[in-house]
Amino acid sequence: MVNVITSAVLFSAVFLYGCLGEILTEKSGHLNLGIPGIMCMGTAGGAYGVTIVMNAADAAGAEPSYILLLLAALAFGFLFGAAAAAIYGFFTITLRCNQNISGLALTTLGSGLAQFVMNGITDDGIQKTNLSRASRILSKSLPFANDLGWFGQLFLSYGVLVYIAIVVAIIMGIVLKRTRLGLHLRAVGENPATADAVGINVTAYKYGAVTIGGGIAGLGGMFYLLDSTKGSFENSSTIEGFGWLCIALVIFVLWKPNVSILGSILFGLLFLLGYLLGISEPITQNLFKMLPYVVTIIVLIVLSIIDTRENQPPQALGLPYFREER
Amino acid sequence: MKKVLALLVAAVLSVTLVVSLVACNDKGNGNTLEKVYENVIANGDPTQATGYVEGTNKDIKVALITLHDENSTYDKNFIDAFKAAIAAKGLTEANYAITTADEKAECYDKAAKFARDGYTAVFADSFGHESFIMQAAEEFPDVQFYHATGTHAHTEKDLPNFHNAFASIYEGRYVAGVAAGLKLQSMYETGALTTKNFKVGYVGAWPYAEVISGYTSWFLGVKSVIDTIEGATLNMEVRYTNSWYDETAERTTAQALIDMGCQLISQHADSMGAPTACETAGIPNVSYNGSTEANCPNTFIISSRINWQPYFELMLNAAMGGSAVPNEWTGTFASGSVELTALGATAPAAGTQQKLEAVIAQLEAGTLKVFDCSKFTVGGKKLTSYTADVDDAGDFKGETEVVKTEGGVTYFAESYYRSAPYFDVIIDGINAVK
Amino acid sequence: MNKTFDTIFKIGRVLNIICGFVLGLLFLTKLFALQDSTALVPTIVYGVALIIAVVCFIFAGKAYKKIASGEYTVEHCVILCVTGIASVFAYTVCGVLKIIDRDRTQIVSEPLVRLVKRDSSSVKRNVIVYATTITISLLLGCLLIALVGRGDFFKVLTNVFTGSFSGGEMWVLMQNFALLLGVSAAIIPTFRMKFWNLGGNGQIMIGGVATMLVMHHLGKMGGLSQAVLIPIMIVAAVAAGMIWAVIPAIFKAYFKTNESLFTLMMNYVAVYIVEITIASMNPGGSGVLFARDYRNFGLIDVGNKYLLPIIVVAVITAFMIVYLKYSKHGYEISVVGESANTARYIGVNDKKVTIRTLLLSGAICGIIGLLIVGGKDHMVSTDSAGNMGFTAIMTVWLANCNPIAMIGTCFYVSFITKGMDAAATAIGVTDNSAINIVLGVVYFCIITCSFFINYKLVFRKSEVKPQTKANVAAVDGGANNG
Repeated sequence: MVNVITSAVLFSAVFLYGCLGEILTEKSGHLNLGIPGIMCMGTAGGAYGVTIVMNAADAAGAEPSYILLLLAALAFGFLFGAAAAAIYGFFTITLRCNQNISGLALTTLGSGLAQFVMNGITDDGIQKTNLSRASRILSKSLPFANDLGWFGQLFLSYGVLVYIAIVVAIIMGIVLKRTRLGLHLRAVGENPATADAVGINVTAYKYGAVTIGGGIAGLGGMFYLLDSTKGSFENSSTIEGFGWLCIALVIFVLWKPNVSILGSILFGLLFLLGYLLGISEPITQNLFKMLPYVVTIIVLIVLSIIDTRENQPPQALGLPYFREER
Repeated sequence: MKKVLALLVAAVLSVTLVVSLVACNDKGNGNTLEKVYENVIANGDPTQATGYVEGTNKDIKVALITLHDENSTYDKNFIDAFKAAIAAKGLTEANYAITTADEKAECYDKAAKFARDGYTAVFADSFGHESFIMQAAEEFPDVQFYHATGTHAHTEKDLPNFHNAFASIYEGRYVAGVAAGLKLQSMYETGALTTKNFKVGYVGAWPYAEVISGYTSWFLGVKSVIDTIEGATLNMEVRYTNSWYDETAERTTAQALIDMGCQLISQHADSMGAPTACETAGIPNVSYNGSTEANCPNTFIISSRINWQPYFELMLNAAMGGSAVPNEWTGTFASGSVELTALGATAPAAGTQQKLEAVIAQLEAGTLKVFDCSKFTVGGKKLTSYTADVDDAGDFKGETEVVKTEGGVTYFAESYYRSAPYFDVIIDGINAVK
Repeated sequence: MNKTFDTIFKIGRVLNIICGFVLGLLFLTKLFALQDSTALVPTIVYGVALIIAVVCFIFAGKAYKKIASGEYTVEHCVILCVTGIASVFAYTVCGVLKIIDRDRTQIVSEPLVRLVKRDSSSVKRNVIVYATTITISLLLGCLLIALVGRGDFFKVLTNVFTGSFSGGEMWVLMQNFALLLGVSAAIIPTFRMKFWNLGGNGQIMIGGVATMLVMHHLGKMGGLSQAVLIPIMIVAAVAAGMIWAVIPAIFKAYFKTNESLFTLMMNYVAVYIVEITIASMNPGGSGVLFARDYRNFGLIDVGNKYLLPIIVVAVITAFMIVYLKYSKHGYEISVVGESANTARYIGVNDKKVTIRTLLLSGAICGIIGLLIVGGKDHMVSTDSAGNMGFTAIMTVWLANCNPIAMIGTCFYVSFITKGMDAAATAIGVTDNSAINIVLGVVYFCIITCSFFINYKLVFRKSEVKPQTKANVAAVDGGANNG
């Protein structure tokens, strides 16, 4: 039982990062369907950063430093994701293009580009091993976790990246709900015309949310490479699939970062349930695979029927903002 | 009008009836297959077989159709072997093209394009390509079409230019199983395992003959070692992911198997999911289609794979004007088609290499049969006869008797009546959902 | 010589990065917003940044030759291009942002460039924009493939055309084009209504599942003849597609449920329904249906095997053009798309229109599923739709939701996809990621094209003086008095 939850938590961190990134983006009124491509770019970024540190360490003949690896993975994963999201931002905020289309185009471009960069890295056998070595270092859990029995296994046995995700979620929740910055951002997402009239710099907030949200989502891709698969990468289709799930997960957690922690664990559990139970019969297995999506649809429907203010998507979600039309 | 329609329907139905009757008669019962397109089992270097004629025309074009690009280990295996065969035959880049095609009409379109563009040989590597390659073979009788893992070439008399090929990979898996068994034995002897009730796990892709044959032969390899330990038992848990490539599913399934108490895992699936889960948990792993030692240095034991280069060289040779390739062909250890990677550096037990070489020698000599009926039971009883679905006519019923007796040994003749495996029996000791 | 070039390359790269960084800094410190300086200073800054960026691009150009001869790795060029693009991007963003989003505490001044939505655009202008986009995206795509495969650019370009138009390839292209056009015809009415139907893939697959069930249970197992099977298949596929499409529509109409996400999730559910269908029909367990067994239970070929989808889709497209442009339903669709309130005001029931349109969309997708599963592949798989649901969104968008222009855009996208694949094979690229990159770039070109069609950039006329405090006061005082 404990193992089941541990697997779900480990897996859910991928979703958590992606979900948080998309929540931030959607809070500013942008439905970024390019999250799958952005997460792929984050994978490429994480791999790139880690490769640089490992090569430098090997050249110096020393063991790679944990902190340096962590920083490189975080920085480059974030940067690549943010850069990809910036492209989406440019087309949807400045050029006022339709958000769905731009997002879909970014998904195609991002996954192709990421695959290309990753192939360049993994074609070299040494780099391939470096990725797996780096990921073993990064996913090491707290040293005393194993000694604390089931409590340690359940709460303390994860790599640092999982905890970073939880911290980011908590910070985002606080920022969105209790700070002026968060208030302005929510205003921009609900009614940009009003926000503009009050003097909030709508474009800056939108760009900020989209880019930073993209960066966080990119960390999800980086986490998948460096923790879930322990550094082995073959193609970007798996991460792309997760990106779509993250978009669904945002609805599932009602656009609330705090709920997203538990929500992504639950979602991860639903996703893995069939395999964890050892179900092999094809029809039953496929019904289990359907579960996360069906549950999301139900949540969507229930939310729209109940229609309470706090649980709705940002009102201006998906609409470009034209000051002239105010 | 209605009358005409009724007549038309009746005519169509009667024609269908006649055709199906004729087809039924053609099948006959029992082993009529030995008269039609016999499966050629390559028991040595194919270039030394009788009737082999070397081809010399280098002005040829051949095509390789893969399911995914070279980033998939399955297809990379074919692409690398193909390029090596091209080089071995002294051909260049101008002589070939490699492209990807889904298991849909796209495969036919691409194969037909190659045929129209003057390519004389087209090879497709994935199970689902078969219908479409056959369709192209129908339309272009002068071009040779080759398909790996397929099941229809040996029955399609109307398609002499359609070929199937596979290899006796079950023998490779058996040897890999021996290595696994030796590892389990050494784990018991060093005290890492404290029970003589050994348990192994297998992550399978789809619940059909090719996979069942693979894990049963692996299991029998492990069993051959475990049976030498006094009072030991061996059980295997099999779970299917119902996908050839699903990293998360394979990793989670392997983890679930480990949590069930499996002491060693193997798989028939294309991603690194299962080996990764094993490395994280410190459970030894036998992989497939390539060494995973680089990413899993502490737990990699060995891997078996099919080397397609000998078959590709035959195919190129035929295109160059040499002897034709048989419609049904099975490679073996002796022909260089079944290979085992180097043993892992840390995980395998001491002395594994010599033992494996001894087993391989016995397999090549024919003195050791993997599916020896005296070594396993089905429902508590030994198998004395079994009709397998060799003709794959879409009825999913067995019609060919496949248990043979040779040299005093009664065994299930796998990959004998056709190259693609047809062992789909769940034997005792294996717990699998069928 | 190598070393010199390396140094120049490094300097160029550094210049690029500095340029982007400086511009970013300028933006942050809002130097642009200083209004007491004349317009000259910002213009000089822009000009200098642009020159630097162009110089760096020239370096990138020279690098291309080195790369083609193998002296430099693709990495070099990619880095140069990326930094060059980044610096130009930073430049544009800073410039445009400064102009569009003005700080309200500063004095207003007429911006250098303004974005204005076009009411209409002349056909001639549209043609020029389309032609430019097509040329640029084609050349860009070929360039990328040539770079990745280290091949000859012109060989790639010729193969793009021969791979699409030569011999039997024309028929395959026309079939792909027809199927994509069919899906686009299904999507276009929903988009005109501003209902973002992202579920095309799922609707096609469900239509395919229905077809497959009829082919298997009534055809192969039941032994019915094709003459009886085909009408049943048509009804089944259309009904299945309609049901799958109308479910999100009902919830959107009555509860305002977000349709993008709903239809997206329905896609995934459809995938697993396909898997279940295959498993139920395939006791052998291999996960693949043997198409050859179903050839006699599918659709009948008209002429050659590619003609049937072309004819069916031609009829569907003609119908859709007439439906959208000349029928009452089409009018109602555009009204609802403009504004749901307006629609209700003039007596159009937007709920009814939503549901009716999605029924139509689902029906067409079902027919496409039937054509694919019953006519082309004779089997269903999770890849039956070939992601056409998403590609169709692109083509409909590029056509600006105009059903006639949709024909052209579908043809272009089919042509480029097939051509690039053929070109990649011809120069020996075995990595499909290059093709995805090319497609992504082409899509962004398409988006930019649509931007240029919908908006125009209004440049400041040189006679207009930037308003200073004195001017504004005078104008305001005048306005108040008058």
